[in-house]
Amino acid sequence: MTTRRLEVQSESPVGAPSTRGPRWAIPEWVTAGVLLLIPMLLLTIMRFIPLLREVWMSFTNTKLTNPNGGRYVGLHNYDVLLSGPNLHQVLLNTAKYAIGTTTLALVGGLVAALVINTKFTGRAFARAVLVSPWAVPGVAAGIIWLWMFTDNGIIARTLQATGLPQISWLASPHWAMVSVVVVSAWLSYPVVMLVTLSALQSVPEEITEAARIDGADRIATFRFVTWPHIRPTFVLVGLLVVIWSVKRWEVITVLTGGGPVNSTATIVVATQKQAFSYGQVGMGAAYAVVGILIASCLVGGFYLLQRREAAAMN
Amino acid sequence: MKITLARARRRRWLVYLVVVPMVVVVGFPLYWMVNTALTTQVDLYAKPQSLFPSLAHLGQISHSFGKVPLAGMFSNSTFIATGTAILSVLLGLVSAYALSRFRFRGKGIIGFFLFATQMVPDGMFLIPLYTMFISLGLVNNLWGLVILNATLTLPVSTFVIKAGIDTVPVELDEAARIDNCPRLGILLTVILPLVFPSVVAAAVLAFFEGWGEVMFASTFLSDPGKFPASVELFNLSASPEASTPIIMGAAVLYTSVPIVFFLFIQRRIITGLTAGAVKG
Repeated sequence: MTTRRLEVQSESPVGAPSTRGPRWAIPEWVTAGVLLLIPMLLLTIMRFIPLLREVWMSFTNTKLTNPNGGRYVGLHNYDVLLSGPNLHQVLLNTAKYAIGTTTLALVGGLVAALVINTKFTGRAFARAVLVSPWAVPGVAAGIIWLWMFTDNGIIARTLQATGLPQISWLASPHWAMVSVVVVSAWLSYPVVMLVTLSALQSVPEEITEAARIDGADRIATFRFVTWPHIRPTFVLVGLLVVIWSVKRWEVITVLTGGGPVNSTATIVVATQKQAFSYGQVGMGAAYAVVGILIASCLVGGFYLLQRREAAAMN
Repeated sequence: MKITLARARRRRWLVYLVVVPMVVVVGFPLYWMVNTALTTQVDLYAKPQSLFPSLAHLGQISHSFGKVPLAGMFSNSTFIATGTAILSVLLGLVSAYALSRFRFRGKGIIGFFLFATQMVPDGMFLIPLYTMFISLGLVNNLWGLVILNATLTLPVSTFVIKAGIDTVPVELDEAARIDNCPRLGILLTVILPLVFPSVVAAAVLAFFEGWGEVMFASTFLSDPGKFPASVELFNLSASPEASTPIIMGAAVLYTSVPIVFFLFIQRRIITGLTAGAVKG
């Protein structure tokens, strides 16, 4: 399989000009343009124009009651954002949420992948259970965990039975963040597990065996043979989890609505709330522009890292 | 020999020591959803919730039919998710074909544009899209959501399918071209059958997105008759008078659709997803 792909790539790089077409053939760029016309048009309408519109709206005092009738107010919204404590807190929340989710999802995913990669009775069942959260829609996850986190819910009961102190999960700012991170990681870790698992299965058995024969123990084999092999994939999936967790809206909204006292309001939650709960559409747009700027920096970072990882893989 | 056997046995215990707690913790929320759906509201508050479901209440899930507009919400969800999957895959297929097989100026820019759109949270565009949808008259319109979801999933569909097309030897296209087969014919008769697994993976990913999406749907739809299951459940979760077992019953039905899909085609999705992620 691998050899076939390599051979194909070396012989004819993707996108190589086909020289043997009929003589009357339409130029390649015309065909490609026709194929890409509708997709690019839609992306422009749904992504690029909204971007311009958003930047414009962030300079207006648009209200929800009259969404297309805002008046230009210059930098007023940004002034308010940058001088108040809210934006600072929202960005901090977003960072906490993304880092917490990613760390938990990566650790959980790696451990799960390593375990599922060994042979044991009941492995198929364990695998099915461990990946199942991936298919659970965010709203459903929110509803389930909301019920588990309630004051007399099953988590509180379990803690009580084991004699641990009671925690009001969703009512204290600190634990509310922990709660949304747990749920978010529960949803995200299966992808880490599955991607890592497929990377693990691509580690040639000969080299791990060779390491074992050379006297390396399990931990050393993992650290010096397996880990370098799966690292590029693992880093990439980690970055994807960061991006996905910043996107998440419904889990936080169902569980805490961004509260208590804004402690779980990430940038997406704050933007939506600002516009559709408080009716301050212009101010919401300013939040979003800040979010887009930060996301763009992350995209740049991701891109550079990916190129480095790709170079490392070759 | 004895030593290795003992070692193997110890290792197996170690595996179970890790895997059993993990399976319990990860699987418990789903179990608890089903268990709660099979209790009555009275039992739920009169005493601590039973750890085991009583099958006597199996019929209760059907009570949801009276309290929650199940038929309407699932047909709306099916419409949105299926429409999203079909449109996203069609557009993804032609984009992937163009990006994989043609040489033209600006290809790198288009690739980067696709990649970059994937990285900015969709929620950041909620506000301008809302005002645009008002202007375009797409508010309260399920087609509007289909087009939006399909566009948002288009980059992923494209990458997943392109990764598949990239592994098909160009020589096959060329052979078909010598036989004077038109480009579209090559895509449909030569390439499509070979990349079908990737197409299925892309379709399922887009379907999941359409099935689960709630932020745009709850913002753009105000007519309750058009609410998909995600919006209906989202509203129920915030409503104080909704009964917990009924909500859980509806959640069980809502979740079972993607779970069943997923268990069937898990491996394909993962292959496609990895390709998409790694190639970016």
